[in-house]
Amino acid sequence: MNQISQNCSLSLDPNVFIFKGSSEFVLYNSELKTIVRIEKSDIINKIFNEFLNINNLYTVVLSDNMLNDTTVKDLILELQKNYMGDIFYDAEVKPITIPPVMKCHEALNGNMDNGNLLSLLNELTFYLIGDCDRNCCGCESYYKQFVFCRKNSGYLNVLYIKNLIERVIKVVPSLRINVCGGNIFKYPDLDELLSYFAVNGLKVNFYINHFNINIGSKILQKILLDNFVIHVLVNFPIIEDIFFNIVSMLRNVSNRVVYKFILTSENDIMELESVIKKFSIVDYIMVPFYNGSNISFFEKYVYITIDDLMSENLTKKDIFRRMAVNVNYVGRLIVSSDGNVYSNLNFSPLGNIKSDALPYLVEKEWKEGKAWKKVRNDVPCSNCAFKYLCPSPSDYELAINKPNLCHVF
Amino acid sequence: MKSSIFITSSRGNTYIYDFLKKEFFPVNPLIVLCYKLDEKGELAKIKQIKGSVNQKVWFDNNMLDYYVEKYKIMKLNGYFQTISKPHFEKYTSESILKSLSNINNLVFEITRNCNLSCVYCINGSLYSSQIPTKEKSLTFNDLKATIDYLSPLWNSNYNKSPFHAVSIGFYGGEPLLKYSLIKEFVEYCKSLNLKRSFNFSMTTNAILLKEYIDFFVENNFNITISLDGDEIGHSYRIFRDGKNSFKSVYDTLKYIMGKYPNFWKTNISFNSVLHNRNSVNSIHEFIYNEFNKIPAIHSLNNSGVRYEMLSIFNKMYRSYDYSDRSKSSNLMQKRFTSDSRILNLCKFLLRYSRDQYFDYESLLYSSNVEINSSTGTCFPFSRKIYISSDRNILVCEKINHKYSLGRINGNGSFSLDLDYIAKKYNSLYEKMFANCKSCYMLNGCSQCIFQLDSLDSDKPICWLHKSERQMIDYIRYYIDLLEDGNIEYEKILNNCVLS
Repeated sequence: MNQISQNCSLSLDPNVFIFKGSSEFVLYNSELKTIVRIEKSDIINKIFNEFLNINNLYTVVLSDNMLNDTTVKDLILELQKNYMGDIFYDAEVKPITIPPVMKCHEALNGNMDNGNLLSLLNELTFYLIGDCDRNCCGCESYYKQFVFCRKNSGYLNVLYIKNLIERVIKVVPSLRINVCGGNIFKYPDLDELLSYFAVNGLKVNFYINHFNINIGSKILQKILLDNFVIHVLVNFPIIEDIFFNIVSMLRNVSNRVVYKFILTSENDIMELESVIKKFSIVDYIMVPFYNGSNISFFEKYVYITIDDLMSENLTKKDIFRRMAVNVNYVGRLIVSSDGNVYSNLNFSPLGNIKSDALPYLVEKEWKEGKAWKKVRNDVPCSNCAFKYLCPSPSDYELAINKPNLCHVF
Repeated sequence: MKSSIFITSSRGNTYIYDFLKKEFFPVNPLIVLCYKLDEKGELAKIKQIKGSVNQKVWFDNNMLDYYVEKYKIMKLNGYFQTISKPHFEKYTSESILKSLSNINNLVFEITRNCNLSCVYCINGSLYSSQIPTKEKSLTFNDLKATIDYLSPLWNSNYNKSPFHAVSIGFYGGEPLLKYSLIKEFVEYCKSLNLKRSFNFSMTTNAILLKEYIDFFVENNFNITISLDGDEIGHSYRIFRDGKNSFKSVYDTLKYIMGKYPNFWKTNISFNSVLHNRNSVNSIHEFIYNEFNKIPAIHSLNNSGVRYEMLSIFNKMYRSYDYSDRSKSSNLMQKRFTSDSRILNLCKFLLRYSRDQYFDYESLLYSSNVEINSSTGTCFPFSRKIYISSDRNILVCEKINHKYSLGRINGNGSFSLDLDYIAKKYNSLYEKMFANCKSCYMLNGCSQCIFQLDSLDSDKPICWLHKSERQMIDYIRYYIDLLEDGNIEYEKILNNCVLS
């Protein structure tokens, strides 16, 4: 029994995470979304090591000597002030709290081998065709950092697309479907595919480079008529006449249009500000692009600071997810125009949709893949107390070839 | 209903549990006081209270100010809400089809006949007979019809994984009386060119096992042996002439243990019934010492007992929790996940804490706050399909056959009306909602409605219904277990896995 001879115990709340850094313990309250940093010392180490021993159920018995220690007094005050824990006197046995340690029963019983593989999926991206007449300067790189068109060989048989969607959507009704090219207007079966999407009531996201939008095209009118979302990919410099025509045409369906501006520099930001003002664009997203020589731009606008982390407002479950999987990648599969299937276009294909069954591809990524389970376990992130408060690794880390894009560690 | 309740453990510590946050933690009793005053709209009056709460917790003005502020912060952050349960989510024929397409556990009661006449047998004089039928055994065609019905569903788009192994269990009566049928069906399954593999299992009294063991070893069967402990403990398991079957079973088991030590280690398990001639300790010690196994131990089934047999039943019945109380913590350590208290604690933590998830799907994609009204009844066919010896199709062997959901017809065809099943469940749940809407067992109900004796009445009564007070007692039980310190929480996290 946890009978205590001393009459004082210190308990942490179950929503308080303890993250151990090299010189400090970082405490994150996932209810109040607050962070407290406690500098290490012998007595602090002793107390926190007891907290981290999960058999102690987040409660440490404090001796009279400890209670008289200034550092311990300050710790107790700090915890109480931030509503992260409390002190309890005169208990017959020490009170207990379930520490925030995630347990996924399926992971422990190994059932992923044969259990709910397909239910892991949440997004399919189809590169319908690889052909495109444009020669954008970032063509070979954009798609490695975000969803963007990509030149490649071949085009996808429409049957493969339909079969794949039908296989997944029965299990995952909320599946997100993305469509991209090359120039998707060169895809010979686009009309048939659009009809299929429409008949089945599928809400599909079309990623189209603004240079490929032909405002007179009948097939474009069909895309606009149905309940599809159009992501207009815009890279600078913008040719204003062309862009004006596109914006004018899409104005009637503006609730289903998102402009994605690719930015590489502060000049691009200034140009963007002028463009959105001039064309009265409301729904837009700024997408930074690493071009090999703009690291200072990333350091200024992309790299994460402690303040960024504190404004993330992560729930307990958000943190558990970041511990278990890469939340940017998990559940996503990309089918390129040649049929190759990827979990991430920066890595080798998992197989080919023409020859490999979908569950096999999902299982392969889950067991051996580099994307879905890529968490912050590389140095220096692995030693950082903030690693699970930090977003999962993204394609930017891969492009820049640096595991931590931050001003924290 | 209240989202937050206060629990005082048996050792006197005060806790709060919140159903929306799914967490409990110790609180200062002043928080309880704040809540009680606030409930009456009198929080401001707390300043008039001086000195102590219940003569136990002393405080000064600074403490009072702190805990009033803490209470307000907690309230602002979602504690102390009023919650109401939503109606049951309606089942559809499509959702049942999805479930059937992912079924991975088939259980066949291949015969009701048995070579023993156990005193407490569910098909014996103690219980109201569940199967008024002439047909007491399945045929090969019945078993084949089941596979033939399910195969296309396993290969359909509704199936989440084609690699899923299917478990096929043979159950009785005594299944070994139909050994040739088992053998024929196993060979048939192996001959099928399905993409999935089959695992086979059987529950047996072991009387005939020595004769057929080579076949079961060859086919990697998982075998559960019914053994109630030593000779006295086992003495309700008798032959028709009243003779104890212990000696026969014991000799067979020793023979198999010696001949197939590896198979014994990996494929044999024990199931024991607790009653007035044994105890958890005596069963555990005997089977562990003799056979190096930790047996599953269950009390007698207490549903469907014939009224006129109640006094005999009550004399025999023993509850697991109240057996061997003096040896309780020691036994719990030894049996760990085979101990019902540990197992129930694991279930409690899964259902009532936000740290545990049954699968990746719920971790990755479900919302943070979930209040549902589901009963402890399994979604139809989510755990298994059970074919009784009279060709009824049920969701479980523990359910009265009057709740059969379909039949295998004489011509070997499978008759299962999914629309009827959906409507049946929906109407039963609708009827139950009057009970469930005020029940505090939010997210954690374990009551299968098909085991309620009053289910067919207009107003069925649920014996597990929990008022606020009863829920406090329920949670206190688990807090007490953890406070006692006899359970290593790390072991619970790593070793107790629910599937």
